[in-house]
Amino acid sequence: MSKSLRVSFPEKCVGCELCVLMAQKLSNFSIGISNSPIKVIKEGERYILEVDEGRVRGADKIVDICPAAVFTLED
Amino acid sequence: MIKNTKTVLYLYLNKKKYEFKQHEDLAPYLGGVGTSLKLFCDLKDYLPVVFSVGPLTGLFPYLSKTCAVYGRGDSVFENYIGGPLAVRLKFAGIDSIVILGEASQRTVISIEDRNVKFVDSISKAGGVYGRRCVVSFEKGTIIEGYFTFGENDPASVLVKRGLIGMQVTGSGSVEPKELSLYEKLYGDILQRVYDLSVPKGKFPSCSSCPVGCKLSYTGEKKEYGRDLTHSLVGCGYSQKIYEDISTVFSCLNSIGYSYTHEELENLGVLISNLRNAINNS
Repeated sequence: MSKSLRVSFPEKCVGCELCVLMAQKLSNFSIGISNSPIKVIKEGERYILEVDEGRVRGADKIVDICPAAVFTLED
Repeated sequence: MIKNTKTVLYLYLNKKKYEFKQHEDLAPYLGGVGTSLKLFCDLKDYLPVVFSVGPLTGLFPYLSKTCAVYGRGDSVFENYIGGPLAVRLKFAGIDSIVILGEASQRTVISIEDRNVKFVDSISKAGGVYGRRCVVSFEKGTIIEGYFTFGENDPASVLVKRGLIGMQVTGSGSVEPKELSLYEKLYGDILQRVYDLSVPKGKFPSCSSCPVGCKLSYTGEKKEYGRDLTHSLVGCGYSQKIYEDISTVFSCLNSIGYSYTHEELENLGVLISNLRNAINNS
């Protein structure tokens, strides 16, 4: 059973959007941000992440590409 | 194959009009500082403020900056700002923005792909929640409340002309021509984070850059010798990666651009000629 993506440490996010780009590439086979299942929104001094879990593909690759270890995998 | 022509958005503040033009003549200048200087040189009598991104912006790591070229007094400035703006412009399909004229009232530009509106406040600028980038000029250029130009900020010129802000949403996407090559290059370049001449940090990072460096806050000024990097538009700290013509050639080819090694080698001469033409005018 594939594991799902969890935003475990949003406070660590630096807003690089590598996860946004990777998630779109994995789910839509294109490079962009607007069709990505992940949004990264800057609110004041922090970033908020919104994940459409049903559309995420390749969760392990998204975990790997994050430089700040924001995501974890869960069963 | 992707055409090397550049898509330029012209904004006429005095008329509240805009137009998109396709520029084949800009292709040799690659992007970023090259296209910005060329556009400035061609339009200098009209005192343009030019913002440009590069052909690989958002497609490869560390290519995260927007180049600005503008005049103030007798001087011409080249400057770079980080944050999420460059990626939004790229996916809006815009290679350069040229701002001309002077608005009769306070104006905010709202850009959603090919739809452009002139409104009177940032609160009316719209855009897609979670996907847009908001730029304010009133207290210096500030992108998403954080990223600035540092010195030589064009904001004072823009505000004097009535432009107080901008919103950009880009919903386009790119499908690399050579996907396997693209993914290999992307992974290799991402691994070279330790070739950047700036330490990793936990500060807000420019889009498509994992570094989170302290210096993302203040952008960077021009520095000769980084013309290829600044045409792509990477920050100067990535020059060890992007001043290598073979790497850049491979990246462009993987996406589908048809630049040759010779054209990339000739870029520095073209840019130098533009700077000389501007300085001698």
